Amino acid sequence: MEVVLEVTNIVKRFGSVEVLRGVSLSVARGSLVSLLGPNGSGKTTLMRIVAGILKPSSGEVTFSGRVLSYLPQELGLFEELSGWDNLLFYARLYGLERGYALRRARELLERLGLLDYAKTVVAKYSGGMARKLSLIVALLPEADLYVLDEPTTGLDPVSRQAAWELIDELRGGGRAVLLSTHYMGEAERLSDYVYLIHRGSVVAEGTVEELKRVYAPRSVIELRVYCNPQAAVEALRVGGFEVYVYGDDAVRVYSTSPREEVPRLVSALYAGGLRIRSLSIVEPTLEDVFVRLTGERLGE
Amino acid sequence: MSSVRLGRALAIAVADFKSLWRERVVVFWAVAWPAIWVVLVAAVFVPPEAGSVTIHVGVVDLDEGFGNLTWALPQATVNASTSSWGNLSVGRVLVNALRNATLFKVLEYSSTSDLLKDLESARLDLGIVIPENFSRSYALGTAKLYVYVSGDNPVKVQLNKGFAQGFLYEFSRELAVGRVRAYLRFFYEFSKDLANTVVPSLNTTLGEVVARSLVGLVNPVDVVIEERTPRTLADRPLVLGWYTVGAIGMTMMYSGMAFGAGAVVVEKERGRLDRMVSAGVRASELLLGKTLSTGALMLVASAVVVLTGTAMGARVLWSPLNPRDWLVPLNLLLAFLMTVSVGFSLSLLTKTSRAATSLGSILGLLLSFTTGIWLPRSMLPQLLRALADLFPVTWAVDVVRAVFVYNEDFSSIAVLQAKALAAAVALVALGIAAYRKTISRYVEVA
Repeated sequence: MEVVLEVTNIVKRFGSVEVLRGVSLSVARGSLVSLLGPNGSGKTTLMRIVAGILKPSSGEVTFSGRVLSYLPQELGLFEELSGWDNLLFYARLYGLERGYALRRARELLERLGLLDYAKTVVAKYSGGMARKLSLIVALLPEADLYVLDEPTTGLDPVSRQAAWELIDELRGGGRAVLLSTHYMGEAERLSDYVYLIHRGSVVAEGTVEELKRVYAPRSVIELRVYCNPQAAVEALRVGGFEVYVYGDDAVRVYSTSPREEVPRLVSALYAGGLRIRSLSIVEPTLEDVFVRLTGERLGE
Repeated sequence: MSSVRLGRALAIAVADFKSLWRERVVVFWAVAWPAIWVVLVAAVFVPPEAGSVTIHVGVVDLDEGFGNLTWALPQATVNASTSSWGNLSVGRVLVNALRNATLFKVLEYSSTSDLLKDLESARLDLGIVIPENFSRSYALGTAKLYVYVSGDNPVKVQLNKGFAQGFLYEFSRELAVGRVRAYLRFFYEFSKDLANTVVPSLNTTLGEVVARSLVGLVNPVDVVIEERTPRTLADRPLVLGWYTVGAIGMTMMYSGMAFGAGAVVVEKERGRLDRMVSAGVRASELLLGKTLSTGALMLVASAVVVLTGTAMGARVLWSPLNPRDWLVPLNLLLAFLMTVSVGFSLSLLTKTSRAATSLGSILGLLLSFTTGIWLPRSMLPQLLRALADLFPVTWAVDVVRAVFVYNEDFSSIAVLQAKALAAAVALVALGIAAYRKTISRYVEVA
C-alpha cells in the first residue's frame, strides 16, 4: 500500500527539553493511524511537525501527497464571524472551488447538526458546537492526509458518534488520517494502526488486535468496592495482584486465570475489611496495554 | 520573504477586517474615540466664540470736567478713540474710549464701594475710578487715575493688569499728543513769524521742528506691534483642521502599534496561525492580509474623523484633480505603515496578545501626545519639541496638515516629504524583520 506520510526518527527539543525522542511512523493511503498517549506525551508536537508548523531538531518527514488538512487542538476560528464565514474563509485558503466548498460545508454542517446555526456568530456557539465547526473546517478540503489532533475532545456522546462516522469515511478514496487521541475507545473504534506514545517515544505499535495480543493481560477483573478504590488497590497489591484504579471508582486487576484468582482476590479484600459492590470479568482494552507498558494511565 | 499569493492575503484581510469590525471595543477605540476628540476640541476647547477676549470693566466717573480751564482742551487732533469732547470731561472721553474698544465690556457704577464689591465677587476683571478733579489735573499737569485689577487666578490677574496698562498707556499717550497740539496752536497764534522762520540746516520751519520735538517728547518711540499667531491657533477652522488630522494621526499611532504588536500572537492564541500555516499560507501572505485589514479599519476611521471634523467646522482642502493633494492619502499610508511597523517591532517584547495590544496602544497614545501629532508643538516643552522634530510619523502627519489644512505648495514640503518617505521605508524594513522574528517563535516553517 502506498505510503503518504513517512516520519523517520524525529527528535524535537525546546531548549534543553527533549519532547520527541526518535519517533518513527508511517501512514498508508486509505488507512487511519492513531497516536495514543496521555497529555504531554508529545503527540501534539509530532502532529505540528507533520502539519509543517514546526521543524524537527533532527529526523525527517516525507509527505508524498498534495493537500494536508490539519485540525489543531485550539479552535482556530474567527469568533466574531459566522460559521459560514469561517468555512468560506478556510475554503479560500485551501483554494477550494466555491461550488464544491458550499456543497461540502452544507453536508458536513448537516451531519454534525450545525446547519441551523451556520449563520450564527461563533462567539455565540457552545464549546461543543465550536469544536464541531472546527472539525468541519478540517474536513472541508479533499486532502491526501488529515492530521486531526484530538478531534472529538469536548463533544457530547451523540456528536462524538457522528464525528467518528465522518472520520471513518475519510480513509475512502485513497485518503489517509493521522489522529491523536487519549480516548482509547476512539482509537479502538477507528484505528487501522496504533502508535502508543509515552514521554516522546513510541513504546509500542501495531493494530489494536496485535497490541492487545502481545501486551494486554489475558483477562481483566473489574471490581467496585464500598469505599475509596485506592484502599482496594493497596490491599490487593499486598496480596500480589497487578492492579490499578480505573475511572472514578473502579479497580482493574490483571489476571491470567480469573477462575482461580477471583476467590483469592475476594479473600484479600475481606481480609482488609473492604466490601465488594460489584465484580465482573471484562475484555482488556488499549488502556490496559498502555498501563502494562508504561505503568501510567492514558488519562494521567 | 516568500512571494505572496494575493488571493490568500485578501481572504485573510477580509476575514480579519470583518472580525475587527464586529468587535465593539475595537470600533470604539479605533473609529469613535478619535471622532469624539474632534467633537470635544470643537465644542469645548475651541468653541465658536473662541479667540475673542472680553474684559469686564467697571467704571466710576466722578470727573467734574475742566471748569474754567477750557483753554487747555486738546483740539480734534487726537485720534478717533478720544475724539468726543462734547461734555468737556476727560473722564467721559476715557469711558467712551473703553466702550469703543471691543476688548472691554463696560459697566458704570455710581460709587467706588459698589465697584469694589463687584470686583471682589469676581463679577468684574477691572475697576477704574476717575476722580472728581481728573480733567482739571490733566489740564494743569498730571491726572491721577485709580485702577483695580481682579481675576480668579494669578495668570488672569496678570493678563487683566496687562490689558489695563496697555490701554491706559495708549490713552495717556494720545492725551499727551493732543495737549502738545493745543500748545502748538498757541505757539502759531502768538508767535506766527517765529514759527514760520525757516531753519536752513533742517530745511524746514521752526514751528515744524518744535512740533516734531514736542510730539517726540511724549511719544519718543513709535512701537509697531504686529501679531504673528502660530498657524495652529490662527483661526477656528484651521485649529479644527489641525486637530482633525491630529486625531487621525492619534488613532493610527495607538491602533497601528497595537495591531502590529498583536498581529501574530493573536492568531497564535486563537489557534488560527497553525491552521493557516498548515493550509499553506505563507508568512508574507499573513503579514499582507493583517496589514490590509488594519489599513482598511484605519481608512474607515480617517473618513469618519474627517467627516466629523468638517461637520464641526474644520477647514480641510482636498481635490482629486490636484496632484499635490494625493500626498494626503500617500502620507496617511506612510504614517500607518510606520506605526504598524513599530508595532511589529514591539511584538518582540511581548508574549501574549493582551500584553502586545496594551504596550502598543499605551506607547502609541503617549507618543501621539508628546510628538506634535495630537498636541501642537507650541504646547510642548522644549525637549518634546525636539522629539517631535525627530519623530518620523510626525513628518508624515505634518505633510498631511500642510496640504490638507494649510494648502501649502509642494516646494515648501518637499524636504519633509522626502524624510517621511525614507523613514517609512526604513521602518517598514525593520518591521518586516521583526515580524519574521516574531512569527518564527511560533511557526518554524512558515
